[in-house]
Amino acid sequence: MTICQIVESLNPGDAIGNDVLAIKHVIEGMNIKTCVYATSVSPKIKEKNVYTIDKMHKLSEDDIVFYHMGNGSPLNKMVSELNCRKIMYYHNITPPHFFNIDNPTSAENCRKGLRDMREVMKGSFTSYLAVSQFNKSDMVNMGYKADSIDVIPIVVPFDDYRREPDRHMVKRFSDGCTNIVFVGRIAPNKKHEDLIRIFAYYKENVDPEARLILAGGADPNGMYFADIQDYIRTIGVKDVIFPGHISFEEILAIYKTADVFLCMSEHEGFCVPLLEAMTFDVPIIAYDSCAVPETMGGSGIVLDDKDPAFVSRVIKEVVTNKNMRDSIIAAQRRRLEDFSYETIKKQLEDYFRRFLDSFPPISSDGGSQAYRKLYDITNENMKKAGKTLDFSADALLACADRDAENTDITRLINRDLPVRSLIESSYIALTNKLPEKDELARWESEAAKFERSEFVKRLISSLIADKRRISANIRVSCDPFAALPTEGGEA
Amino acid sequence: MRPLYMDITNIPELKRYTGISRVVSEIAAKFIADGVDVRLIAYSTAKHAYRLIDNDRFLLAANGMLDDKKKCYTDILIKPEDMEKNAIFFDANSTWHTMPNRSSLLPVLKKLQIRIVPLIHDIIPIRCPQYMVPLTLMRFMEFLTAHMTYADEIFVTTDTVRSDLTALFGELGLPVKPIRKIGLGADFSTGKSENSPDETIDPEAVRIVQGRRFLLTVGTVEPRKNQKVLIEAYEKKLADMDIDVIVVGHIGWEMEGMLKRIKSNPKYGNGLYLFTNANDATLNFLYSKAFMVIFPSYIEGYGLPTIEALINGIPIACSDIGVMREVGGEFCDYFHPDSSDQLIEIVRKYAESDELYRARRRQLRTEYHPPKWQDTAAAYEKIFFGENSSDKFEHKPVKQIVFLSARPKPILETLPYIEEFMPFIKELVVCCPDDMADYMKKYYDGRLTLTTVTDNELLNGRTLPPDHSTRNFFLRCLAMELDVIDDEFIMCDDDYRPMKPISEEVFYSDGKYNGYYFSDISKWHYMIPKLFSYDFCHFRTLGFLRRNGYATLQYSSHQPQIINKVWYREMIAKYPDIITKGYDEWSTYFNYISAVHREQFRPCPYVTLSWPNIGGENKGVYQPDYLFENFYSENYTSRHTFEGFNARYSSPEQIVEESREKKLIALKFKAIHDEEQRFADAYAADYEKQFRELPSVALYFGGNPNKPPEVGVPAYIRLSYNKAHKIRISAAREKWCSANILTAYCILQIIDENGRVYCNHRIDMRPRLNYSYQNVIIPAHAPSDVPLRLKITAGLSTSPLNTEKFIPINITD
Repeated sequence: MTICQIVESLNPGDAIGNDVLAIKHVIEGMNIKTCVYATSVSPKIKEKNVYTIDKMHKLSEDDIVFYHMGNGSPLNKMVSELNCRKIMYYHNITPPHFFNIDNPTSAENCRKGLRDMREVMKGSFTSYLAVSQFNKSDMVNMGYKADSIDVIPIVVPFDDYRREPDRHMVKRFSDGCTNIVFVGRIAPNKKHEDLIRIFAYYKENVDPEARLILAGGADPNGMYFADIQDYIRTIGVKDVIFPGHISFEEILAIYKTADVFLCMSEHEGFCVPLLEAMTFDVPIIAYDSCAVPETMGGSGIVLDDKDPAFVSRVIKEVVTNKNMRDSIIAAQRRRLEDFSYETIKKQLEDYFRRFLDSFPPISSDGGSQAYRKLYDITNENMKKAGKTLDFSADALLACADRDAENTDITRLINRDLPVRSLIESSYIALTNKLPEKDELARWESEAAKFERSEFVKRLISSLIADKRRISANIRVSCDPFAALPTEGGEA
Repeated sequence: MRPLYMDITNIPELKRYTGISRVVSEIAAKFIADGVDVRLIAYSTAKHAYRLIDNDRFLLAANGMLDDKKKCYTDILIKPEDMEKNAIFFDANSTWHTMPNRSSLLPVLKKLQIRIVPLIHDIIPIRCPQYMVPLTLMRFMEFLTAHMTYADEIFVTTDTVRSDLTALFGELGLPVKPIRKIGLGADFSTGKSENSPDETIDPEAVRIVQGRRFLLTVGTVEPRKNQKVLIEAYEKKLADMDIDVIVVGHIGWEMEGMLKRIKSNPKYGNGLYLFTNANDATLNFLYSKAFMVIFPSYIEGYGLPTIEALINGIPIACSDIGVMREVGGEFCDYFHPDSSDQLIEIVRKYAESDELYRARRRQLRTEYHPPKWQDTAAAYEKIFFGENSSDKFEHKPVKQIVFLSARPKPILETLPYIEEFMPFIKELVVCCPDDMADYMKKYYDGRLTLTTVTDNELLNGRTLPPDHSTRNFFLRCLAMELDVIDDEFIMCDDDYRPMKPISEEVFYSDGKYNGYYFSDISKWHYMIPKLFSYDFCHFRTLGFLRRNGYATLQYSSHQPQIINKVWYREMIAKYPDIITKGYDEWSTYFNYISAVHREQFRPCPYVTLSWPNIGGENKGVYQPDYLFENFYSENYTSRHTFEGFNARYSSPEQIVEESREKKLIALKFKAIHDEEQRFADAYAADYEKQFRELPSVALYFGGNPNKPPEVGVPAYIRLSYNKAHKIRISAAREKWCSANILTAYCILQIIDENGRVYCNHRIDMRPRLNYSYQNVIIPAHAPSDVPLRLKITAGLSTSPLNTEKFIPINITD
């Protein structure tokens, strides 16, 4: 049994990417085989058993697919159609209307994602997970059954935050000025324009030395970033800083020097940066929207009003009132414990155990275990006599697996055997004999010369034509290499 | 008397009988003489079936009295699946050398409730594999594992083999089968070839034994027979004692060293002799003249030659191993197989004392009573035919029907059918959620005495599994604990409706319970486009059944079935963890009782209409009748098969009449299916004859994203204007490739030479689907006067690469 995570793209530093790798480690810790597939895998990912989707392994009866759902990927449909036990982990999809002012492609991607959620994926998974109650209710609104959805927050790699922040950046922002910070993609749902408007009022009326640091990448094909910059120019506010593409250590430096974390986002499925800010003891002031209050869990300050004068007053209070600041930070620290790695890890482990109990695995051995054990026992006896068995365990299984003298080539290939086993199994299935030593050596050297498909074709075609096959009366069916006598010039 | 099949493949054609073939022939001959309904069969790979052997001719052949041994065979062919139900399959021959492999044969026999009883001569190949030819070893391992999994009981010839085999069960983690010991006879009447022209005594043998004392050893020259110790004794001392040594036996595998050692002895040919091809006459002559016979084997299954030597009254020295002690008892002398000194001492003892030697010979003549084949055969016959089943469950008339349901409406709609057409049912037990229990009590007003058991009462504090199938089995297991449920009852789902009057005999007849199956779970792997909880449940069940050597029939036939609560509980007690494993409640139970309570259970093909589809053939299971309908309301809606029929209870007369009409509709569909199947079968048979391969459309995705799939197609395809040809399409995929996540497609088009398309079928095959089917018929508007071809295009859903093949169409009516 392998738990196989599938995600659209796997990037380090990305919330979903971090979550995927953290979940992988949790599964590994449970001694369950696991791997990850993504349409694109960042070259920076050095993790083992991470592959691009075109190297997808053949799922066995027993495998579990764990799909991270968060956009309109073509994978949505493919994964829905996979015939195995499946878990969907719903990270939320931003409502497309936000992107109408930015990038129609993004809007369409979100629209497609939501359509897939409603029309393609519903009911085709064995179990559902949501990263927040908000996401769960989102799913319920889309027609998913509430009792089939568990909520487990995203895993945040808090250990990474202990790394040394970028010194240069720390020095740059440690000049005594008030640093108001927001970290997150520059995307319309994050409402950067609201942050800027509030900041402009604050700078003008409360603290002229303050700066607004907006860390996060922008969609290079989108219009939103340009619009934001126009807006800054139009209202003439200074000291709004977009650090652009920065290193992880520089992001840490921004958190380290922040006085306030200000979030005016209007759509969040979870909002990991809130937890990051909590880690750095940065008091949070956030707008009450979607999963934000749930993630805040009563800590920080959640506002239901974006009026710049009102928000500026709150910022001033947080920056200047030490008692208040300390009590916010204390509450944030308590809240953070709910998201500790150990806590979430335990939730995930419990979830997987419950899943395996509720949806019992299929023993993929199909009764082959006794053959394998007998092979091992016999081989042990052989070793005691100073020899080893001259054939593989797979050859014995091929001997058992065949349907008397009827050989189905499709079935033979689908057994996914390593080279030697494939040679032996093909000989057994097609000639009722084991290969002679020289035959085995010859085919092994062919296997080294050709790519797998070519080798398989040569081996099987040769054995089908072999006189021994004919004299043993072995019937062949489902042969993908069956040559058409009229082939050539036809197509 | 039930028939007894014995697979004696190859034996009729043997030039010379080996130990096992002699044993098998002897037992078979005694069975024939005793009037057992023994059916000797030999498998023919050319005919893909067993050939029945003529018993009389077999006896002639076994006695060397049939000029052409092939004359043993009759023209009667028996496919394993056509063997008689409830027969006995006595597998005593060395059938690991021949087809069919037991791992494929035994599950088929199991489904037929055939009692599988192998005679395992020994497990030497496992314990001492170094003595074996690899291919033989591998085949033996396959044979042995299959029998250890599927046998109903196993026969052995000695206690030594029994304890060895018992230990092996433990080592393999398999449940131990009953193992019985029945010894072999020694008074051979078959396997001789006296009339053969070459059966004269080798003059060389006559010459060398003239006036000499010699030790004889007989058996293939191979390490396990340990001729080495005798040669060593000869080299050390025997030659000096003026005692010769004659080794008789074929040269075995990898024995060049031994051969060299014998032949390089200076006394080779003059005191030390080797006969590699002695005939029976020569062997008998040597036995009659030998001073002693030596059996130095390290390991033996039985030691038949020892008994033969004892019968001849010749003193014997044997290696001191369990089997030798078992058959030789006090009549032999024993030496450690590695001690040539002990062997020398034994020989010296007799060589130096005539008195001792004569006393030993006298003892053998007067006191030794060789075992008789008649006793061996009688012991088998007693077990096969004489023992009464200990399965003494006494059947009482069934009066109770039990439902597990959470749907009040369907059950209330179903009950009138039960009340009317199953008059023997008097009591109704419904296991259901609490609120439904109240509802049932309030609204059920039929003639049956209603008892409800709420889920809470049933669960008694235990948690209900979320998975549908797991829940089903879990609840049923819990229900078996209920006292309100009779020992024998009918289990029913809320949508199974009788179509006409049903008597209790449908469920219990001629002293047997009838369980209804509709398929074999092992056949629908990788054939279902989309798997549901139901399918996963069945794959889990399949694993359980296979691991435990049960049949794999699919009893989830969507019709009422009879359950014996006592046996159900017995099964749960035997496999306590199955309650939460998510197995299929029907197939687990019925396949279990089919093996364990064989004498009181009969598997029957299902009699359900609308499951899994109306009139559809289902993996070859022929439905003899339609007694129940699996009710699907959608069948009764507009433009569906049963449109216009009553979906609700009307009147008995009307239901019976409508049932008759529905049956005709189903039969019509079935006739079409049957005809199409015959059409496809005839084409395949003709094609195989011509091309020595079955025709197939097979795709292979090799893992290189820049290469289109390989597509194997037949040289021609037979199609018709009025019959659909059901074309099978298969897909093989390499272990690591995008075909494991992308849907594969195969487009079948009928085109003319100008490329005009007359029909177009697209078959989508999801990643784990390996087999699919498409019916193809030539449309009426396609011309009959120009050559048509079938164009096949295959690829992966999002890839532009594809492979095209064009096949000539052979039009047949």
